[in-house]
Amino acid sequence: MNTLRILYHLARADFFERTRRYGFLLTLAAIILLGVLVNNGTVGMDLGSGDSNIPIRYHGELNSAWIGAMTVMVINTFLGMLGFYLVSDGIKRDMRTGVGQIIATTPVSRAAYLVGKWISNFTVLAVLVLILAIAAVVMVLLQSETALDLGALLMPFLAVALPNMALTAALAVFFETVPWLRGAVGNVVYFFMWVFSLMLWFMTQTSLTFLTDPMGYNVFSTSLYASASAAFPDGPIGQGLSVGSFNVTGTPIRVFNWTGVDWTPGTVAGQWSWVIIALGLILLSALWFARFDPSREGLRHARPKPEEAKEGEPVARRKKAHHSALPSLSPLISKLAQVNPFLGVLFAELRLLLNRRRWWWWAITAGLAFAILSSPPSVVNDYLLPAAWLWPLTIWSEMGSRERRNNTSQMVFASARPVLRQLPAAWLAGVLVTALLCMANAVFFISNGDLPGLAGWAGAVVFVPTLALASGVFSSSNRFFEVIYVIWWYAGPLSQNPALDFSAGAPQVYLLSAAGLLLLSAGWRGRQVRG
Amino acid sequence: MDPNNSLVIETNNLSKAYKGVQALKDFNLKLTPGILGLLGPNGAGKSTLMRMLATITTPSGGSILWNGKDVVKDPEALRSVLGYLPQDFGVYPNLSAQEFLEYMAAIKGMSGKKAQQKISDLLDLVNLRQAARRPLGGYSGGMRQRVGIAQALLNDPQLLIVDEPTVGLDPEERVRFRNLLSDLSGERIVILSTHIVSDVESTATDIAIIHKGHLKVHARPEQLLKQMDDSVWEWTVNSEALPRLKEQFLVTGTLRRMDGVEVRVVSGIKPCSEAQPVMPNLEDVYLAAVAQNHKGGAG
Repeated sequence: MNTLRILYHLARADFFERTRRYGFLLTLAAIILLGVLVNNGTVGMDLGSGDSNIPIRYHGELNSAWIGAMTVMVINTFLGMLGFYLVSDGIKRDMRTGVGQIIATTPVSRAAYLVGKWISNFTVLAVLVLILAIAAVVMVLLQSETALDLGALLMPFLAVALPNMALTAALAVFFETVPWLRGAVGNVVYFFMWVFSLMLWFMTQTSLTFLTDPMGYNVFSTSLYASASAAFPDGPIGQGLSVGSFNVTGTPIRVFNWTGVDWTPGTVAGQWSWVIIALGLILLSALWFARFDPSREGLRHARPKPEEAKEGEPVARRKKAHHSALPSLSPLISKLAQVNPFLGVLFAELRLLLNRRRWWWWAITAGLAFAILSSPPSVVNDYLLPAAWLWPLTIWSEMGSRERRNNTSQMVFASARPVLRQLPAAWLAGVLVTALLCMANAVFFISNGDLPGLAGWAGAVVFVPTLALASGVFSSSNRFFEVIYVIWWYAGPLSQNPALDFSAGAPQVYLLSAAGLLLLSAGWRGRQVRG
Repeated sequence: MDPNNSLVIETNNLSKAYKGVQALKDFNLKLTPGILGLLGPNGAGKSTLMRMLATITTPSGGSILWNGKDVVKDPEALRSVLGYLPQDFGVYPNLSAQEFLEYMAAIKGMSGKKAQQKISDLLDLVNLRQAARRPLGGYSGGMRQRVGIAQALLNDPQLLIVDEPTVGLDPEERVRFRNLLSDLSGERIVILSTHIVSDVESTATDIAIIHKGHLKVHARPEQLLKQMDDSVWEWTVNSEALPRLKEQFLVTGTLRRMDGVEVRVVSGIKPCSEAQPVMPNLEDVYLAAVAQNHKGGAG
């Protein structure tokens, strides 16, 4: 009973803390927009022909079963990925705020604490699922020619969406308990894990005898394929289920009647088995969760300067400094700043961006540059150039939010010209560092006489750090940039989609966008400075 | 017999090393009900000691016994009766004080009715009744500190560990908290770490001074003051002589006067003919204990 009470309060406090933030309102707005897009047919689900040369799409009739299944597949596709980033901050927040070290002194066990965080994560995601379930009801009432069948509409939510959200919520907790998966690396790893698992389920239609995929893809596709095949025996119908945004102009659409999945106890239990797995993941995480012990959290401490005593180090030498003559305190500016105040700030910003990088980070940077300059062009174009545009992610994601995250904003904003000097200096430092770290890309284009490629590179060198700066200034966090950039990078440079490839697109578009973002950032930072 | 009289926490050869830095070494301390004022320079190992006593950090060696039970092996033996206020702590800015305390009460294992009553009492005690429903994000630093104090007292702890508890409090609140600590100390063990010697002076029944990760002094304040008898001197010098004096002696205080600077010096011998012996205070004791290398220091 007491454990249940602890879990309830752990989850309740965490849930309130998340949902009372301004950012959660934006999340709600985004979810409502997603509901609208599903309602108006911009985003949805269909079956293809199985042959890319035959552009036929198969839709179910707009009845309760189809709308329920379609909404759930959209939820699992979008919230399965973005939901992770939305909720993976509960433990980090306890570390950041210091509430964690108070919790560590209470009788609450590691497992209970993590289960509480899991329930809170799940509750937040479940609220979003509920909103989309309501949107699905509205869609049936407005658009369906058949009567509302609540069972057929809601069963996909209960049997498929909620277990998948429970798994996503557990993965967020799992990633937060592993120190090296807690930051940008974890964000990137999760994205690729999600993409690869999606590909695995979609392409191989892998399904264990007792366990179907967590997305519910196989639950729906088998039943849908059977109904579509019965309605159109001559086909051709592919078994592949597509979820996303469809441009259906000119594509023949065939509509078939689908009355829903035959929800047997076995099917439902198969999906809910993921909740058991999720709980197992949480309990597993409890084995290594350090319970906010700073000596086990892998926290890196700043190396003390020679004149500073470390804890436990003889302090006698500090006494010497105690009686030394006062140093000259004025003028305070460095030689560089005496030449030009902007240069002084720029140099300081460059140091902030590049400091604390370990030797292996520089070794990989150099290795990547060497590989770009020495590998066959096809390998460079397909893999190495995109890799070079991902590698500095952790440098970029610090931009714009460092002051808020490190609680130095009051000092920085109280310095001379925080908007007209510090912000431009931070931006220029980002551009220079990007140019330096991606220099091998430019050399590759020059050596191959690829001037459009070089122009695209120049556009990206300005655009990417500007996007990072703007994301940091607006969100006061590094995660926002990490998430949108990784998705964009995957859809653009890695997939070589010309419409989204900022590293090879029209530079004027990206330069113009960068200018706009920089102005907006300056305006927003001005508001922050004025408090 | 009062069951609290049996309360005792002791450390035996307690050690902690962080990546090659020895933060605490062979630390032995035994405490019974009362207030221990924990003093030491920055980096001396105070926070490390308190984190280990609060079961957050595991020692590299040695043991911590709570009423004879090893809390390194079984931290639960202590956690249910422990109150802890860390030096740097935050709150959930979107929760109210009432909600935050309800949350902390739950994870401390307190039941609903008992928790509600205790929260109500504590909100009065720390003078936050009027602001109890407001989000913590809008609280001043002093108000947040009072929320921290309240959460530390929620479970009526037998061991209360407070790290710089009066930082950010206004003078009235500071006096209020010091009185509260004094009232609490009769029936529990309180460990108070602070740089504000006057806080220790007015409340502590015992004083421990940590230096270089070792326990340098552990005694009652009156014993420490007695040891410093005839070791603290005051006289007036001209301001030009002050830097040289600081090189020679441990100067614990200076006061500008019309005829020069009145200096307060700790020295085992009379520093000069004009020097007059004065009553030592705890600041003299502390500074003397951590400044061994000074010429003429009474140490």
